[in-house]
Amino acid sequence: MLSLETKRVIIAVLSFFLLSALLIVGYIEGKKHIPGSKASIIVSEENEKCVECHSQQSNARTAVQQWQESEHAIKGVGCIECHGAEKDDIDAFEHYQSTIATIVSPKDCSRCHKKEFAEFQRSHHAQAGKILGSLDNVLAEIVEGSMEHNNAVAVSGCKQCHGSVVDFIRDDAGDIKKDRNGIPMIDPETWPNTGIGRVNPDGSLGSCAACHNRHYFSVAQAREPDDCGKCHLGPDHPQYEIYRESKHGINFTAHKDEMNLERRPWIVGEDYIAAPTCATCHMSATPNQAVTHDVGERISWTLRPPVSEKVDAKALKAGKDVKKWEERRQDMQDVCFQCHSKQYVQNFYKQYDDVVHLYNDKFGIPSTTLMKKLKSVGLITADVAFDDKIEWTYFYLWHHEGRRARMGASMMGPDYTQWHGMYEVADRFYAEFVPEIKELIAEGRAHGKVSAAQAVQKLLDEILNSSLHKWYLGKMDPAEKKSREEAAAQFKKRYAGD
Amino acid sequence: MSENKSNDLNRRGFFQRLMMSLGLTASYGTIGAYAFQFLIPKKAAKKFRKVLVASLPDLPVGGSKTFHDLRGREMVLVNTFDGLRAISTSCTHLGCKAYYEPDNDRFFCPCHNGVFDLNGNVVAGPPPSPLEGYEVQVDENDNVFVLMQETA
Amino acid sequence: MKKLNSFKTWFAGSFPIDLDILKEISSEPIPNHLKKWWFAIGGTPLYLFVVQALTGIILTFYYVPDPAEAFQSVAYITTHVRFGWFLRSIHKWSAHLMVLTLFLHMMRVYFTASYRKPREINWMIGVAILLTTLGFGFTGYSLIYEQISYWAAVVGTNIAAATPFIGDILSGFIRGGDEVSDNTLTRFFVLHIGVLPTAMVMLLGLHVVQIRLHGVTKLRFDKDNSHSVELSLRVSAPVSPTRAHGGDTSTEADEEEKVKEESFPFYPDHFYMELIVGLTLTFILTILALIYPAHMGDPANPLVTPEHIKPEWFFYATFRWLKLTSLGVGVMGTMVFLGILLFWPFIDRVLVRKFPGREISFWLGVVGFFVFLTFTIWEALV
Repeated sequence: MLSLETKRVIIAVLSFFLLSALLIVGYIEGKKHIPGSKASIIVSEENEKCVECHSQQSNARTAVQQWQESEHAIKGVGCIECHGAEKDDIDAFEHYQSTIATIVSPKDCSRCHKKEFAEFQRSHHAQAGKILGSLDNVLAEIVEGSMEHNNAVAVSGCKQCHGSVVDFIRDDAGDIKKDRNGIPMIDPETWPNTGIGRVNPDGSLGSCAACHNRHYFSVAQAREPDDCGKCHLGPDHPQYEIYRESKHGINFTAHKDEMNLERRPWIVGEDYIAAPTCATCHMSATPNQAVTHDVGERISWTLRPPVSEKVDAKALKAGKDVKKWEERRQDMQDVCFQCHSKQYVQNFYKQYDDVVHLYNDKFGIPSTTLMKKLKSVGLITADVAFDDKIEWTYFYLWHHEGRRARMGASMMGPDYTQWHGMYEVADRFYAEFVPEIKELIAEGRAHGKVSAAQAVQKLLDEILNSSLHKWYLGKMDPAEKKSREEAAAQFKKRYAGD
Repeated sequence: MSENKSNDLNRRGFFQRLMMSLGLTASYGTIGAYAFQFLIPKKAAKKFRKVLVASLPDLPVGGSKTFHDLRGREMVLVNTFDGLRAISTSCTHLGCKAYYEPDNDRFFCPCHNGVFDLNGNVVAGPPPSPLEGYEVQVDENDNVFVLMQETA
Repeated sequence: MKKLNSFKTWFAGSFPIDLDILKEISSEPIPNHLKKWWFAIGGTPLYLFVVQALTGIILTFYYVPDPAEAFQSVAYITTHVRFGWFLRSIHKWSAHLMVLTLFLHMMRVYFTASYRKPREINWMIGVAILLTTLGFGFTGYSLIYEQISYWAAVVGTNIAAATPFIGDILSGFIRGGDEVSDNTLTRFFVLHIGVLPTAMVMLLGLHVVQIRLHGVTKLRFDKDNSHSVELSLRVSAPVSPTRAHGGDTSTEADEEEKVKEESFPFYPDHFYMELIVGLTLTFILTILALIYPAHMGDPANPLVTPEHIKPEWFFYATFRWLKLTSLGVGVMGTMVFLGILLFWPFIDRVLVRKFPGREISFWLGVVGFFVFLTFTIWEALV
């Protein structure tokens, strides 16, 4: 039996243990995070009327529910703040004692988001709808498409990214027709459409919902590369695929959960460090720059045309005062510098510039010059596009492969630069374009257009005999030829055992 | 010698009893303190949220708009000569509704004739304190926000 | 000094307690075999019951016994209230430990045959305490209104309904209707915080009084516990040694000596022991609350029956038994078992008379224990 003394000591020791355990309990209580409760939403009475009905109706139910989870709802921005219209608006209608319009344009959003509206309106994105008359437009409406079928290709294809010109169904007098509920009827050729260059009834350009999907209007969703990927993908401009191939994209996929996509502000290097997204480089804030909705502000090259030039070149030629490409490049490099060293970035830009210059000099300029010549001498029709095979060949060369190669270099996608890019450019050029030129020359001669044929032949010879192309004629520099054969032998020797 | 020993024993015994009592008091006392904290919730710091209430063009000087705050209480947004005010209509006397009277530039409570000015301050009558008010902010796009107190 | 004295006199007038008697009672001699730990097991469920009462009262400050709010109020306690998670976890673990130590105590009492004369009634009070404790466990578990608790209540009340003869009345009383409804939760709440605690306190009081009146049995059990040391409260008539032992001719002086060497004082020795046990239990409960705190399951959904409905572990054996036979037979069997348990002192008497010296009760107890253990583990694994 333990003595009293021992018992007292045991009690003291046990109390100490108990106290320690309780102190741990206290520590845990202090660290406890109380889960946030659902924020209450307060909106005006007019809005509550909308919600009451539209949360019951099947089609609008989800829209209302999405809105209820959005930042707008928390801030008291409801239906009327966006869908509300003036009585004299072209698309306004009365609906249960409220004056509203179906389509919410960027101008409507600018009630609160003025800065974003201004930046966006002046950006290239807002101009996306103005592709009437472009070659792509010709393809969509004439070559592939049919106006007899309500221009289906353009409506469901091109314009869903580029944006339609929203118009209404009108009667013979030209007035807008309304359905039996009094709601203006919108021309199905023009809507639904959230193309980023949509031309709205109120004259504003674009659609904020192109990137900020309704009715969540989530900034985290807009920052996802998937969002840009709705339009910026495919054989002619695979920016999305290039990004996913690149190390930036790989890091993003691996560390997406640590990217804090919903944060405000969202500054690269501070709020996230794992990788840049499309938004990071082209729009989002850095410690030195605010976020911008003008996506051209950091672009130096335009990689779109058959021959790339600096993005300010055309505007400067037209005498407009625009941000210089050097300044834009500096702003872009400011993003890079958040993670990379000066040498790293500058070396990369050298690599990138070299690819663009190479494409231009070796394939872009020669092929374009040849095409111009063919048209001017009449060996192919100049007034009808895509009726000559070589026009397709040329189109693929600059519009598809040529863009892929340049964009692959711009965003560190080596496979797109090489195998999906320059390799296919070279293939297209040497295996199709040049032989087709030769065919046209022969055809021209056969049909009596001798001087035309000779002019083209002269140009072709000039091009093929240049240092870039003379290998094709077997005229490689003997010294270079020798050193290449030696290198090949070395290569064979090194890997002979494999 | 034995006396010293017994003195030591006494001291040791005293020390033991002391440690024992201290230990018991400290450990069970801590549990008691936790139970006390359990029963009495901590006063949480007030959090405010910016909520859109009106558009300035819709609210000329002298105009007003009724709205509800996050706790469901009725409030009035008034564009006075001295600026925008967001004032609660819950009279601080006994809780009746104090009506905004634009013609008299005041809030009037009919229950016991309490009168408040447009800042919510008591002018006449039994109310002991001013009507509760919230901060109002206007952004560069003329959107009027009220900083409302969050519920729990 | 004078003021203190007048205060003392005034106080003593209100509570005329004789301090000398108080000292004598608190220095009550305790039989030496109580120094053995397994004899202290009876005090453990008592301490845990006090813990349950205190934490239970505190939890009731936030709990709402309405089906629409019950779950949310428990979640609120667990996540929002300061130390809510801690006190709720203590309540939960103390419940498990209380049932466990109660089982252990019951086994100790059984295997020392302490139910024999004159302690038959005390045994039956003990069985009543056991049933009350299981009632606490059943009602308390359902108050959380999670999926498992709701459906456990449904199954439990359905089993009650299968009781022969009184099934409908019994289930109607427990449920407050033909089905588990809003009434059920209210009833469980009233039972858990009102009826059962009152019954428990009364039963415990009787239980302790009986122990004080009879004294504690010795380790080796005799036919009639004639060698137990007798202690008496002032309230009971002093039992003379000759009358109790049936013919013992030792003198009173001898008896006193016997008491002295076979016992030790309650205060401070046993009191300290109780403190040690109490501290250890509180420590264990705190550790359990830290490592395995109480969580929230899915809220009760009367429209969705979960795949597996299981009661608490102390009902596993019964549950397993019920699944082995038809419901009617199963419930009958359980009733019969409870009857045997309740009247065991008398059945034991018959057994001792029929098979003297064979210690049948002991072996039956061993068998019973292993059957219980097997059924419990079986249900746990399935």
